[in-house]
Amino acid sequence: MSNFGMSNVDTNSEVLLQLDGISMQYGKGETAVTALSGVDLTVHAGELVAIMGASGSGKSTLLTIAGGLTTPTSGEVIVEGQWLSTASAAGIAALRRRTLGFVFQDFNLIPALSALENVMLPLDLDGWKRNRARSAAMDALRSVELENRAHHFPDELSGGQQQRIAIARAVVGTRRIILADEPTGALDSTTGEVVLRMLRKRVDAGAGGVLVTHDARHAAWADRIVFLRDGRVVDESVGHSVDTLLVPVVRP
Amino acid sequence: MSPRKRRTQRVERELVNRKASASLALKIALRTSARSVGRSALIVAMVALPVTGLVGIAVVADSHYSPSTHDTITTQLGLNEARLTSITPSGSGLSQNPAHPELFDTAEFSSGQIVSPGDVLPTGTRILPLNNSWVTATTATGLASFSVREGPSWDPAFAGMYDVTEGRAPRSDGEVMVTASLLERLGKRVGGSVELVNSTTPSVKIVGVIDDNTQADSMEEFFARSGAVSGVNAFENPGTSTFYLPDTTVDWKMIQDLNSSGITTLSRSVLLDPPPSDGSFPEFTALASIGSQLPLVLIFAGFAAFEVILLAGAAFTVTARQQQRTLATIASVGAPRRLLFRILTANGIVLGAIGGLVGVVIGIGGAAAIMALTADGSSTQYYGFHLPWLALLSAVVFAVLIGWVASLLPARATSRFNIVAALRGSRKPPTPNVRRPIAGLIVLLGGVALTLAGGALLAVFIEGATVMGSAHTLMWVPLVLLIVGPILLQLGLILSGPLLLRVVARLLRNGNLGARLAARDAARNPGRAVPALAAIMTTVFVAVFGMTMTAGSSESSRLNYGYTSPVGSVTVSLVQVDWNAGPASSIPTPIDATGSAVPAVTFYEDTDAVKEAIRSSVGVDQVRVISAVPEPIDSGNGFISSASASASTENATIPLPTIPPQNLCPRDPRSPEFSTDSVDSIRAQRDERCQSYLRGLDYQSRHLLVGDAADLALVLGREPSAEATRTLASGGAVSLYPDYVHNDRFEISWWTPQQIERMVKDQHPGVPARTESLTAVVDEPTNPIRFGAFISPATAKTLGLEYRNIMVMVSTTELPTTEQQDALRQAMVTLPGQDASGGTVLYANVEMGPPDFAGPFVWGLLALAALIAIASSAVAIGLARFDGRQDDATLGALGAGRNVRQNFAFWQALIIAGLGSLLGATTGLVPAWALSGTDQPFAPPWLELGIVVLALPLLIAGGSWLLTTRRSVSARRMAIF
Repeated sequence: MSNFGMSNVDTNSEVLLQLDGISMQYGKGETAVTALSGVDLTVHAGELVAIMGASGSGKSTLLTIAGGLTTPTSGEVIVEGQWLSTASAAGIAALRRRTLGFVFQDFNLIPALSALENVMLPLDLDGWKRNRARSAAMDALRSVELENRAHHFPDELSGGQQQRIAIARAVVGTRRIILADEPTGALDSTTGEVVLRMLRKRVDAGAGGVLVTHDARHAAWADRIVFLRDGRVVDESVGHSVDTLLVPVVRP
Repeated sequence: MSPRKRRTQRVERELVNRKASASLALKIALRTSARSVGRSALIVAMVALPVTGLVGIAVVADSHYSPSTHDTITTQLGLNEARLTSITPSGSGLSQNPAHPELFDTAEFSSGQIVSPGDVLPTGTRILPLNNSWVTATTATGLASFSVREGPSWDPAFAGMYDVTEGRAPRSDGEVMVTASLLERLGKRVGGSVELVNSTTPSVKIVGVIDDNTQADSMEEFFARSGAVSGVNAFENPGTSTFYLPDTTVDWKMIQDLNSSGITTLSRSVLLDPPPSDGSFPEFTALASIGSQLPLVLIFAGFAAFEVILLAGAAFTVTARQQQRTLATIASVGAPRRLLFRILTANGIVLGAIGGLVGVVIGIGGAAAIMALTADGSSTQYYGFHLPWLALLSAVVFAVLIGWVASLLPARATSRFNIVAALRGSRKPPTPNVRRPIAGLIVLLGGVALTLAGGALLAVFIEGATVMGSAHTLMWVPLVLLIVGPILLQLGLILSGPLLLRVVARLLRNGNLGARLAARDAARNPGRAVPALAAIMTTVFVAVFGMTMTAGSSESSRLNYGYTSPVGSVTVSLVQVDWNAGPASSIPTPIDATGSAVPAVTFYEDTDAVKEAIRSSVGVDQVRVISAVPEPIDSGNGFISSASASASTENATIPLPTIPPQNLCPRDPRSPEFSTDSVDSIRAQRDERCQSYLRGLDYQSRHLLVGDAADLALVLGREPSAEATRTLASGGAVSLYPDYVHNDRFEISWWTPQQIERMVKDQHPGVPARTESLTAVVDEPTNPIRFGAFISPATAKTLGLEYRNIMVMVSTTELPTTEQQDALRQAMVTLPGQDASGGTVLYANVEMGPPDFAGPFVWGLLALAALIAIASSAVAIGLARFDGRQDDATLGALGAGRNVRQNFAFWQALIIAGLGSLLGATTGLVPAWALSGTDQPFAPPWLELGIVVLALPLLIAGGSWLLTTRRSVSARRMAIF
């Protein structure tokens, strides 16, 4: 198992997400495929961790395991002190409503709901009073500078705006962990930077984030970069030049 | 499960606020429906379709069957206070229902005279009698019979029932009023005269026109003063008349008094203020009017509901799969799978409710249109435009239920999907489930078994009901089996659908590229192909079941119809019987042993005149004079031979064809199945052998015919078989029924009148005086006509049988029109020696065959099924193609031209619609066959079924080929909603 060094984030700060010895295997026998093998990862409050690696290296699988969408073959996921292996499906769903927020490459907003309703969705599901949920959702929208688009539907918004809405949904309410899977993949570079700035801003405000990306320039927004190859953590960089770190790992 | 775990699960369940969850599910469902107008409209249409039908039927039925009190008063009383009908003699203990006087009980049968209301009502009470009779009148083209309503129909008290529209009321017996239709048929105007046959007044003047609101506008009817035509005094013959009281109010007490005199009453005041039910009179139940049709209605309703659930379910399945990414997103923000399930079922409820409301609106509009189109002018056909609110509300609830049930399975399947895969938009064909086809086969066999058991049980219960006189309390069991069985049968096929598609793919592996691709696509994506297949299968199933049952009903009516001769032929019986001739008659008559009056039998001999009369009236193809051995006639005091007027002696023997014992009715003591058991006797009533035409005597003498092959050909309506022609010529007999023949032999026995009388009374007749046996063959006509067996004149002579000309028979070039039939009857009157006023007119019978209600209905059902199948296949295949648009894009990217995609679309539709139609038609025949154990014969309309199985899929495939767009669809990776 590998557990690489710490970033410039205060290591005494609260641990929001912890992955211990995560392994994931698909299929059985000769056709079995190992997606992850003994991966450890810790995310503190105020820390953004980027995960990089080639296609099929296990980045997205790691993210879905962290969010409780996939159950690992072995290993433990601890979210704000809660062990997912002992939680029921409903308990994990509750964690996704209250603690974890996903940001996807394709935004995955619900077209039938307005921007405000999309952001309110986790709170609605959690039974928040309407006014309180609305107020919290407006705060989240304000934090991504889209409060003036609250009543627009997704198909009335640009890609960048949709992704910012997705970020707002990921952090609305009491949620403090953002799991972002290629959040800039469907955006142009300028819009992508705006989105990453928003993400960074939320993390700086006390959230913890995991950013899966192919792009070294985007990874540079992170406090720490973890490199995956064939399901294993092969390297980790903290505070180095992005170029010097990335070339030997990504292009073996 | 441990209490701790249960508690934990409960707590976790409550993590999602129930109310918030329900409202969120509803909100998303509503928004989804609103944003996907096309797809939602399709589902709404599928739900609305049966609701439209149900509501339409409910409105039309309510308007037809459920008159309001006001409607009843207007149509049955006009402005009268009451209507009285003499039913039984006084002291019969008659008790009637207050509002439905036709519903009555009698405590005992009294043998006295029926009492006229005039005898029991206070002197001076104004009573208006009406009675019906018939008269033959001269029309514009000949002679025809018409209904006559005798009595003051024109009285203002009948306003609303009979309204004078032209002219005035008759002032003497020589004046009549008519309906507008009759005026036209007669070719007269008001003021013209009409000649009547068999009327006490031979010539009458038309003085006015009446609109009979109780009958269709097409009703041809005379209105005359009481007794003017029939000579019947209504007050002296109260049993044949109805009496109205225009001025006398009749209360319930008075009705009970009238009941004690054997008179039932419909009273305005009692209708408006009926007495409470106290068990003293028979209760009226609306269900009783539906009667024997109820089981079939229930079976159809069950199948229709299942069909809609499958149709809507197919659409929901595809829709749900298209929503997977949205649902996955909702799950990713913390929704439990239960909520995903709720969202989809809420969608079903929302669309079901909308479908219900749309169906109600269209159903009401459709009913209004149907009523306007079919209204025949009678105020009793539709009593008004009634809206049965309870039925309308039930229809909406039914629609919501259908929408909910239809969404259950897709919702269950979708809520168990792979969230991560759905979030990525990945498309992975499902792994074939090996157990499912096996389970399907088991369910299918179970369905067949239950269906057959249901049919057999129903047959047993129906027979039991005949024997016991009342329905079995468990009658619902076979009905449930007959609904559940076919549904299981179809579910089994749906479960086996993926396997069937794989078989089709294997069969088409050497086909062209389009066929191979389409077959492989259907087999690899059963999730989208099977719902489409199921939708078409169930549509065809219901249609085929309906068509087969209707055709069976038509076949039943054909078998029970008394064909006198082949359809389109004209027969004129030369046998004339004067039933009341008696010894004093001028016609030489036989006299029975007691010297009482007996029927006088004559044989009209001027056959050339008859032939000429027929030729002058209708288009003649072939004409023959048919001869037969005369049969005995019941004189009322015994049976006598009608062979010749002078041949009557009480000891003369009469020849009759013999029915072999094994073909005899079991009630006949000579039958080997004869039993004295009363249950067997009742059961025998349903035995076909007891209903046979051959069993009775026919005074028109058509059981043993004497003639050559040409006569036989005309009677059969086609050329006889070569064997029949040979047998006839060689001295044998040709039987038109297999019942006469046993071991290729046909017997004729000679009986005394006394023996015949015992035979008719189902007593053992003893040994015949003589018996002769002939070689015989059977040559059955297309329809069971009333002719028994043929022998040649030479054979008759050898056997010493006396035979006479009994009939002139004609085959026509086309079915005679009403005008030609009028002319034909007129021609009969003018034949030499015929006396119209004396009632001894030769009667020309035109065999038109039974009314063909099934033909138009079956074709209508076929058209409706085709419409629904095309619509549902358009929806289901369209959704399947939408679901497979990425494959279409891939094909396009690989350089496939429009022809390849058209070919693919053609074969895709052909495989799905063809397999669906074939399975639907096969399964539709199963319950119809199961029901053939009852009175319903199994007579599938093969031509229409062939069209359903072959032409319909080709039509759908052709449409799919034509509608394939020139440009291929470019698929986007992201496609949520």
